Amino acid sequence: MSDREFQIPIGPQHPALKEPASFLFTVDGEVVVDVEPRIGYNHRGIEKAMEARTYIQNLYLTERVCGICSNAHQTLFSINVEDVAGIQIPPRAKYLRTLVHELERIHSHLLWVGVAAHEIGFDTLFYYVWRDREIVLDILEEISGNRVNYAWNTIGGVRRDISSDKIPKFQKMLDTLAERTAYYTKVASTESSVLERAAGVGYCSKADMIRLCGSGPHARASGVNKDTRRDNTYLAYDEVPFNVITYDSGDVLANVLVRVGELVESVGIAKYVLDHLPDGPIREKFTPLQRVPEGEATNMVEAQRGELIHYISSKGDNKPYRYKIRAPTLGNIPSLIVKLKGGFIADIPIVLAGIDPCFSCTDRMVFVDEVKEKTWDMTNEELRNYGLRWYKNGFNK
Amino acid sequence: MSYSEENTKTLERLSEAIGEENLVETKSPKANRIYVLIKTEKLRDAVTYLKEKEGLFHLATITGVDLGEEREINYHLNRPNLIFTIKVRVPSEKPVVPSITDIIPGAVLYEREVNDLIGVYPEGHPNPKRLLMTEEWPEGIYPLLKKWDVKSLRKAIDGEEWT
Repeated sequence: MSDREFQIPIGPQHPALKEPASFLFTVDGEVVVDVEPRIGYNHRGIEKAMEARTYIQNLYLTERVCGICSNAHQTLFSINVEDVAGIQIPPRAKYLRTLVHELERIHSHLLWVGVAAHEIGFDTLFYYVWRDREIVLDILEEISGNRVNYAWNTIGGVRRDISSDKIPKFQKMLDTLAERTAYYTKVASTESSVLERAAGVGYCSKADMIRLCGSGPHARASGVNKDTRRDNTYLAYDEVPFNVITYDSGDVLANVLVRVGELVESVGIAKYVLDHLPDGPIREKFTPLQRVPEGEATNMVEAQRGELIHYISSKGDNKPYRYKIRAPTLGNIPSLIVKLKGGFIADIPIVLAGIDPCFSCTDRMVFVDEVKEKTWDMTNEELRNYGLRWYKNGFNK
Repeated sequence: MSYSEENTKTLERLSEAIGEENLVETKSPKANRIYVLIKTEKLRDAVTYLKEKEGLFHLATITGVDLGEEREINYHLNRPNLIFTIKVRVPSEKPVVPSITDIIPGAVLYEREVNDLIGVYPEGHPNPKRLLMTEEWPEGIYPLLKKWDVKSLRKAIDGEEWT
């Protein structure tokens, strides 16, 4: 490190957040030259805990891995156990799982668009988006009883059915969402408040993204045409028509556009599923203490943040011998670092938010001036305001 | 050519590339899933071959499993219509695997995670520091090993009895 460079540790932050993380930034003036990630502040030992619990108990533990992609984890856990146990779930259960999987993606992407709008100081868009997010949360509440953590899956199918007289109402609510997301596509691609802060910021090339095994909307924003729903299809995705959205520019703007585009697709999938729900039972029997034969299974789903993979190894007991969970944020950190390097301090909040991590709302930051051995604290709000002021005064010009 | 034929061919070509005697066990419990147990010294050759020639350049994650006498490391690679898992087993007395981070840079954090939790050291890793465990965590305690449960871990870390 030369005399000109300073180190800025950012995080670990508020324990109330889902995934606190710490980044040590080395900066030269306004430019980030190096980033070192440090994670594990909220490591709860869930994989170890799963080895001591039965499959039905684990169903509810996996749902609590993450608050936003809770259903993705639970769905994947069910698929994995069904694979080893040799259970074929009924077609109606497949469709119902697909429905909630997509509704969860809609709520998560809307949440992200709101957070991203807030990070760039566009709070009007933030309020609009979060107001519309209530529509999808209302649908989820009506079909599952909960706004988050739906407890929707069980091993062998789903726990509740949807009554057909509610479907027209849901279709109408989804139509409103479709209209709103079309409007957000327009805002994201034309509004100068977005373009000014997002275009060309936080770049990662397609080659780097492939090399570093990035996934999800974050990778599709760099032109990597990869989506588990299409490539390693699961549930009802081989029967449902949808497009995979990619953009080539690899910046924060592409991140916004990919997610807004996926919102439109997800609304389409949810409407298709509601129209084509097959009749029949919603689950196969699986008893609470049922033993699962010896074997292993690896499955992936496209969670809203990227590819999610679970691995199970069973030794014939009613508990898993080993269960491995890899959430998308961990897989996206190496390529996030590429995006941060060479950027400005003022862009850190939005680039960090760009991968939709669970640790985007950094609460407190410590800046260390290595030469003068001086330390000062900055809250996330101050860093955000610093970025806003920096752009307002035109320092980027 | 159907997907499963293509996947079988991938396995055959891997067998040719690294030598049939180095493939210890293969299985395919489901369509589009292949598990291959290979000898540890051929790990880097196999990963290089699959990455360069078979389009398996995306590493989803690395899983460590404690089997008692041995520790099994699973490398989950994927491409459209295939999830390909390479397994190697290393003795628990000397749990070291060659690092594959220089072949697939995306492995950089996964190898550190496996080292933290199950104690399999990635030899040749550019930065094999702790990733998940705190600095105060005692050396040599790997929580995902089967010999630890919540009680014994608590006792080993801060000497307190779990009540």
